[in-house]
Amino acid sequence: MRGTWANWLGAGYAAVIYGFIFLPVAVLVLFSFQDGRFPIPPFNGPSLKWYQAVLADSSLTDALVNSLLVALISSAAACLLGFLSAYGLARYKLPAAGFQRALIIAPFTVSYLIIGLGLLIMFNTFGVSRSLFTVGVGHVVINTPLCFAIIYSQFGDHQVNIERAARDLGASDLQIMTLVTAPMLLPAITAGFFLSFTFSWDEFIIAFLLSRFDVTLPVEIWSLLRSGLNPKTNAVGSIVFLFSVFILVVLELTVFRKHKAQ
Amino acid sequence: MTAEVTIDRITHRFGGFVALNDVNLTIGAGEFAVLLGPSGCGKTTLLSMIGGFLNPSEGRILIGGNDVTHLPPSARPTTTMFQDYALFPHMSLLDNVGFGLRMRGMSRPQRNARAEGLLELVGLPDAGSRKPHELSGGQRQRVALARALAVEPDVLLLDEPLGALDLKLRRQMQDELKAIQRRVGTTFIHVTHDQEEAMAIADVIIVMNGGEVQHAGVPEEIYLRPNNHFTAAFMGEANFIRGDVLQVSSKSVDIQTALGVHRFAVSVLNGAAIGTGQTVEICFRPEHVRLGANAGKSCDFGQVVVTDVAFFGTHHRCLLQLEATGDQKITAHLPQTLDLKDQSKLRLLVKPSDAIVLPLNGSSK
Repeated sequence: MRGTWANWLGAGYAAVIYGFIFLPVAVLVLFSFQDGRFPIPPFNGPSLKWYQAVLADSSLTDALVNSLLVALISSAAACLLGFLSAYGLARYKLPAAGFQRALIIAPFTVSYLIIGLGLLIMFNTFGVSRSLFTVGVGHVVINTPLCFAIIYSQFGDHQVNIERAARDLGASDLQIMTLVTAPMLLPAITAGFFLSFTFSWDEFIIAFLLSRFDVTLPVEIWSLLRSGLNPKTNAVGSIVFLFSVFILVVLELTVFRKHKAQ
Repeated sequence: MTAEVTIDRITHRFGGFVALNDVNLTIGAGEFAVLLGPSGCGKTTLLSMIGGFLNPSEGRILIGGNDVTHLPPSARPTTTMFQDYALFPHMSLLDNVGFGLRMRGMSRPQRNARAEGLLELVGLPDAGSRKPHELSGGQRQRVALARALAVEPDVLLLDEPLGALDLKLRRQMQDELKAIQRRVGTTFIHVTHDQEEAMAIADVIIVMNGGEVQHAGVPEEIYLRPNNHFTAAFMGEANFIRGDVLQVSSKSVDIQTALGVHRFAVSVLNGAAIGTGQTVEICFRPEHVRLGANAGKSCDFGQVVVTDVAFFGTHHRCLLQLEATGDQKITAHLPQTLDLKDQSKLRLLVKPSDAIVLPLNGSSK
C-alpha cells in the first residue's frame, strides 16, 4: 500500500513539475488556434487564420528568414572557433593553459545584457552600424564558449595515437585536423552546432540591442507585442517553439542516439 | 623496401632520469628484430626515436645509411603500428589502409586496389567496406598492419602489438607476423616484454634493461649462452650458484663453490675475461637439471630434497633444496615420467657443457 502511495505521490509531483514548465507553452500554442481577436478564454476554434496572418505578414516572414540566416552562420562560426580553440588547448602545451581556457569559457557567465551593451558601445566607437552582421557577431560571442566546452570535453588521449598514426603516414597538421580529428569529433561538433542554433534562434536581448532595420524574429515579436495581445503573436510564438522542438528531436535522433550506439 | 637501422651512441634523459644510456645497435636489412625487456627498460623510448616521435638527447639514428635523427615521422622510411592500433574510427577499412597512399597523392582507384591487396595479405579479403568498430581485436590488428605496410616502408615499427590479444590468438598472430615479414622483406622492429613471443618471432633479440642493451643476438644464443645475469634471468627461469675462480687455463676453468669444486671448459665463459680469485656465478636452466645417483661426467652439486612438484604437461616443475647450503632453492624441469619414490640418493647433476659461467654483477659487453 505504502509503495502505491509513494508512486502516486511521485507521479503527481512529476505532473506538477512538467505542468509548471510546459503549461505556459501549452496555453500559448492553444490560443494560437483561437477563432477570435483575443488570446484569452473562452477558447473558440480551432482556426488556422492567425497562422495565415503570420505568413501574410512580410515583416514577420522577413524576420524569420533573418533569424535563420543569423542562426546558421553564427552557429557555424561559433563551432569553427570553438573547435579550433579546443584543438589548440587539447593538443599543444600553451602558456597559462588553464587561464586561457577560463577566458574562453568566461562569456558563459556574463549576462547577455552586459555582452550586448559592451558590443553596442564597441561598435559605436568603431563606427560599425548596427545590422544583422552585428547581431551575428553577438551570437558568436555567446555561443563560442558553449561550442568550445562541448567539443573540448570530447578531446581525449585515445585520439592522440590516431593523430600520430596519421602524421606517421604523411598527413600534414591541416590534413590531420580536417581528415582525422574533426571527423572523429563530429558528434560533439554537431551537438555544439545545433545547441548554438537554438540559442541564437530565440535570443532577444543582444539581437534587440545590436539590430536596426533588419531584425530577427524575437525582436519582431517583441514589437508586435507592444501593440497589444493578439493571437497572431501566439501563432508566431508557436512556430518558433515548434522549430526549436524540431531541432532538438533531430539532435536527439542523429547525434545522441549515435553516440550511445558507439 | 628494406633498410638497415643503426643506433649510434643514443642517450636520452627525461628530466633527471636516464631512459637510454649510450645505446649502440645495428639491425640488419630485412631482419625481424625484437626489443625485449621489462617495463621501463627503454625499449619503447628507443622505438619512438626510430619512428621520429621523440628526439634523442644525444646520438644519431641512421636508416639505410642516412641520418634521420632530426627528421619528422612522415619524412622517415618508417611506419609505426601502435599498441592500441590507432585506426581511424570514421573511415572504412579500405580508407584506413589507403590513407598513407592518399597522403602521397595516389588516385582513389589505384589506392583502393592496393588496399584490397593488402587486406587480402593480412587475411581480411572483402572486408574493405566495414568500419573498425565492427572488428575484433585481432582483426583490427591486421588492419593496422596492412595500413602500416601500404606505404611500403623500409622499416616497420611494432609497439607491443600483440599485448591486448588472448594467448591463443597471440600465438597465431606471431606466426602470421613472421610469415608476412618474410613475404614483404621489410625490416621489422618489434617491442615486447614477453620473452616467449620474442623467441617465437625474432631473427635477433635485443635484451634491454635500465636503458642499456644487455645482450643482442639470435634467440638460441640469448637463451643458451646469455652473457650476463640479467639476460639469463629474464629469458625464462635460471638457477645460479655462486663460486670463486680457483684457476683458469687455456682449456678449462675450476670454480670453487660451497658445493665442491667444478671444472668447466673455457667455452662456458662465453668470451668473458675472468681471473683467478674472481667471484662468478654458475648458471643453468631448469631443463638441464638431472637427478640421479651416479654423477658420471656431470657436475655433482650434492644431495637434494624435492620440496615441491607441479605437473606442467610437458614436464614436472620441481623445487629442490640443496642439503649442503640449505636455504637455496633450485628449479628443475624433470621428465613427465618422474618417479620420486626413493629420495634418499638423489643428487643434483648438470652436464658441464649445459652450464654457463657469468662474472658476478658484471655485464660483459
